Amino acid sequence: MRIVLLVEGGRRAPQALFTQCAEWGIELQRINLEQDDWTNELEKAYGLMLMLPTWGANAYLSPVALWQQYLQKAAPDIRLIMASFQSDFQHSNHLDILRLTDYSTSWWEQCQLVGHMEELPPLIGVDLSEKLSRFFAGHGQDSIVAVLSRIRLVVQMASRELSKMDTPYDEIYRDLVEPAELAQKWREWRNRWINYYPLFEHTPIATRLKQIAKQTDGVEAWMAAGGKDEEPLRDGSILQVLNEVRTRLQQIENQYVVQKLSHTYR
Amino acid sequence: MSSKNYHILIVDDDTEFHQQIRYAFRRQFLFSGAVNEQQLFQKLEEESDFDLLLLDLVLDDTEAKKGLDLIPQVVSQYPELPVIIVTGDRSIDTVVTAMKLGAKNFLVKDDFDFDYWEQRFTEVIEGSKLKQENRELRAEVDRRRALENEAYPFIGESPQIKEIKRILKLVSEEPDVTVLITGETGTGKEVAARYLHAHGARSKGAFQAVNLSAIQDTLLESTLFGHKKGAFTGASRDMEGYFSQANHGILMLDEIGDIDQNIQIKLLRFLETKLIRPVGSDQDIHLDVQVVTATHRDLSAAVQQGRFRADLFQRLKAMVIELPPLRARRDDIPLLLGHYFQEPDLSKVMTEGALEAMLEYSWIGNIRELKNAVSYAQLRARIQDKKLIDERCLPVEILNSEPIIPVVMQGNPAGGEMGAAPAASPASPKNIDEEHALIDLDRIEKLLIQKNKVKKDVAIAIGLENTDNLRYRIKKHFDKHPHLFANFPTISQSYRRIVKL
Repeated sequence: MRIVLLVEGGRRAPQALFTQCAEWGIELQRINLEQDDWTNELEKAYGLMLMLPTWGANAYLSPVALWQQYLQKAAPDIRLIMASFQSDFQHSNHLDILRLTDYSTSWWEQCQLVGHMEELPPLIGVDLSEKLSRFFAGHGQDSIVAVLSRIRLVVQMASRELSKMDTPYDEIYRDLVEPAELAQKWREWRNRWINYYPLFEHTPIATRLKQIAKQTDGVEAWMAAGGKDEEPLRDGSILQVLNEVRTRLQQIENQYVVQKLSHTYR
Repeated sequence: MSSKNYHILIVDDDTEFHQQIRYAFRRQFLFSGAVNEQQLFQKLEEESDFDLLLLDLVLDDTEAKKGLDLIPQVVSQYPELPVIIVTGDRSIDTVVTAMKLGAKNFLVKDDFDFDYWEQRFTEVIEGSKLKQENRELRAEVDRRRALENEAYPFIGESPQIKEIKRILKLVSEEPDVTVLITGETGTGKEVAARYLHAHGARSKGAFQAVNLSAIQDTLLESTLFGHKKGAFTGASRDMEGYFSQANHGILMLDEIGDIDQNIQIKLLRFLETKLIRPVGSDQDIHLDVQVVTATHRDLSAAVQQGRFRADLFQRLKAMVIELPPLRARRDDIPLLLGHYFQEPDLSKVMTEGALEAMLEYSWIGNIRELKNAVSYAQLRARIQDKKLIDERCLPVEILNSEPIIPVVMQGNPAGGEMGAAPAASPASPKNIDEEHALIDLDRIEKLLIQKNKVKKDVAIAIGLENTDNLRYRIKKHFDKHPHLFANFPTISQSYRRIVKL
């Protein structure tokens, strides 16, 4: 049996799909994107099937472009199958769930490997690659990274003053931290996170986003208190979390955002 | 210089960012802020001492990158003010565009790193200041060169001088041709060379003039071509020679007829290959120098006598400019007097009699002698409290403008008077070189007597810079023509260490 990994995308795949695949000699295996071991399955997989459109944040979503980008690097020799009820969608790798009996075992043979797939025509649902760009866009109101960047700037400056310049924290808090209104900025970050996070639950970045969510929980209390507590700043734990979050976000950006970052000094 | 003195203008619609940057760099820099385009130009109008502009690209709630439009405006209106972009936008297109428009660096807010940012601010400011200083220094060098050339005006409206100026202008368009300027001493050979420099393609380059006869033979090679540390005793460091200093410019070698065979060979090599080799070096250096040579000697005769290489002479005479003696262009004397008196209307500074005497004088020392005579006459007029220079203010040799011929001092030489008729020539000069030496020594002898043996006054009267030059001149005459000195007892007495009869 050939193994095809299945991303159901917030909906249950019909049993008929499993049954038909079995007839073709295909074993469909659901994967849990919130656990980071699913990537191990790619090695032995014949393909990866997306149930389209995916459903998240009360909207139909299209994660195909993100999956295509991911698989082209991680597993270019497998097939990316787009399964949907969208009969008018013409693509060699599209599987129309309403007409399963029209397909045969040979159809799987003529599916393109993801490494050879060209750009895709528009699908139903919000294009998540576009959303991801907004996620990282520098100045716009939608950018989650912009808010985090402003928080990190203050924390970085305050940490330096405290550890390198031996400036009393009272003074740092009064002149730098308090005017920066970290609690409010953190709420803003949270709000934007809540808006974005569900969108990417069925994408290859879900695992990383889950890790970021866990890490930021650790600084929640300090942020909510507006950065009054000196100790987490002095021991560097706050800055460490923010730096790690930033690193993970940069990894995502480097991998998925078409217009790459320019790191002027790295 | 402490970086605290640098004044930075931040332009960002995010006032919080202003405060944070001010706080973080408060020990390093002074800050002013603007939140939009209007405030930016207002600040720049009001204060001119900003050293750096930190410019955000997005200056309002829209996504428009107005900062990109501002870069060329700032760069054109305030070219000395460097711009660093500090923004949240990190797309490559934006970076490239900003840098092309004239930004000096591009910093992303999300990448904030105190040390890195401080380093960039300082580097850009100091780099810009360095460029500015370079520009100012270059302008100063150009200004000084222009002034220097102005200090050596090529004065003359006589047909001969007009023609020479015309030729020099034509030659100046050929920046690689070797020029030989001939003429009696004091005829303005350096002035002509500077005229060539000022009007030619090399006017932006250096002009170096060196009087070869004033440099000891043993030092000439290193003076011209430079030397490496340790090349000889006393060479404690590498030293550039005149050739290197004149790179991309003009090197004028005055008294070229006086150099020895060794230097002649090296000069010939340079003219043929444009290469020099400093003393003690094993490396050749390629230089772009136009060589202008000058001499009062007859180089053809020197070649015939085997004292000057024929091949070098052939190279040097690619373009020969012969400057006429002043007595051959007397029309220019009033112009020159007007220049040196700084008064074109000569009737305001001298009597007709004095002018007439100067017009009739033979000026064997040519313009240099005329210049010295003017200084002398001005001083005498002040001493005698005269408003106008009259004949009595003029140097005695002008008043007694008999042709100068060699003298043989008889009896008590110190008691002889200037202008006293010489008894007879010691012997007919063997050649033109000896004749010249005779004339020169005769003049020095007379002046020594006239100036009570004050060598400094004699040197000045002849137009030499100092007594060393006078001593060297006498030594050269003695080395070549020792037999002549029997006729010049004052010189022999004054220079006992040199003249050993």
